Amino acid sequence: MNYHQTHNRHAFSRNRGLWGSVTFLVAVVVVIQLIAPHFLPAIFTTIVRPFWRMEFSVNSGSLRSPDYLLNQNEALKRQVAELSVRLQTSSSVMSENDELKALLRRPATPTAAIISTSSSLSTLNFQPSTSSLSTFNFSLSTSSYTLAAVLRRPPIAPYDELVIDLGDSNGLSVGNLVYGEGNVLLGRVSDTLGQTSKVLLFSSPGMTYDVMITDANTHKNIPAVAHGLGGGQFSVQVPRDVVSNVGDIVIVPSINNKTIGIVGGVITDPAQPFESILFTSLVNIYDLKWVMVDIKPAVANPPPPVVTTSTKNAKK
Amino acid sequence: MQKNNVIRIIIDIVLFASVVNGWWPLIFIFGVAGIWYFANFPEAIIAGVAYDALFGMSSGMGIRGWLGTIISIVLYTIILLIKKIVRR
Repeated sequence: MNYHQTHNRHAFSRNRGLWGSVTFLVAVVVVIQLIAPHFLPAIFTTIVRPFWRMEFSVNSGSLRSPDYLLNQNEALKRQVAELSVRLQTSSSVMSENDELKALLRRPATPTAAIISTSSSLSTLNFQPSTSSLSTFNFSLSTSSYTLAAVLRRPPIAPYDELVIDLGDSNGLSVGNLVYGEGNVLLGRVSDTLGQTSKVLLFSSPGMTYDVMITDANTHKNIPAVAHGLGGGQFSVQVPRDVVSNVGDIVIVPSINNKTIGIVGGVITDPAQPFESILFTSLVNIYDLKWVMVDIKPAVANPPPPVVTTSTKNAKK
Repeated sequence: MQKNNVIRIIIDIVLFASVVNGWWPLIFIFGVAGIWYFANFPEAIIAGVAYDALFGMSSGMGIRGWLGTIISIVLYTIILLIKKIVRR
């Protein structure tokens, strides 16, 4: 009598081998991550970094004609000359501000330092190479700002983070604050590799921290807790009686009053005791090409007023 | 060269380009297609790990920084189980 074969030994051993290889792969990833957390990011970033640099160079106009670049250079020089005149006015206001703070025995603002450094920059020759720009350091007595090129930004980079072209070989460390144009706070360095770093934006979902909403007309400050919504968007819940208007500035409360965003909308529901204030970063994070990283030694770096918790925990 | 090898190389190139550029929907679509079409397609898991290594796996993100790895492993397991049932 012949029996139909119900069990395929070869298929069984092949499947077992397949599951074994998947389990082995997962185990290898977990073990590597536990022993050397930077190993996998370093390997993959080393492979991918040349592609990112090439794309950045192409987007920055490296492949444009010499005539176009010369004209652009000329236009930029004129723009710098015009801006340097404006900077002199603002730097005088900032120096006055610093004098007043010195009278009250408070440290000078890094903003003033940047402006004074930038004004001296206008007398320098332009370096057209992007790589030389990215390693240009603004060394100051209290802090050091380094210009970094943004290799990846949202929405291409997920998790609401930036990938910049400076790493621990350039002196960056986890926790360094990152600013956009106009000294607008954007985020902080969350991970550093040799040549690149990841910057977690403050607007990342799940991030909560203290802010101050400044009324544009009366200059009254409203303390609140902001929640990151992703994509450079934030929300704040305040009592309905609090008056806030579109265009109010949102700052991080400290002596230096770092600007973080501008109110874009207020949602009020008569049935609710609270109203939601939505604000957005002053800098468009989708267009970011360059950022400034405040490189301070870890000990001298005062803890920023940002508390990272998950939204679910905050609700609990 | 066999037809399957050509398809595999094309899918691998698309996966690599998608990981470099962070196009997760493409990684998802081609990863699922690869796992379904080929008997063994570990490139999908490697793509998930590479994606997290490039953009996630940093402090402050917690489990969110591992989403690519977790999703790729879960998808791989589920599709293999479905294949096993459907193609019995």
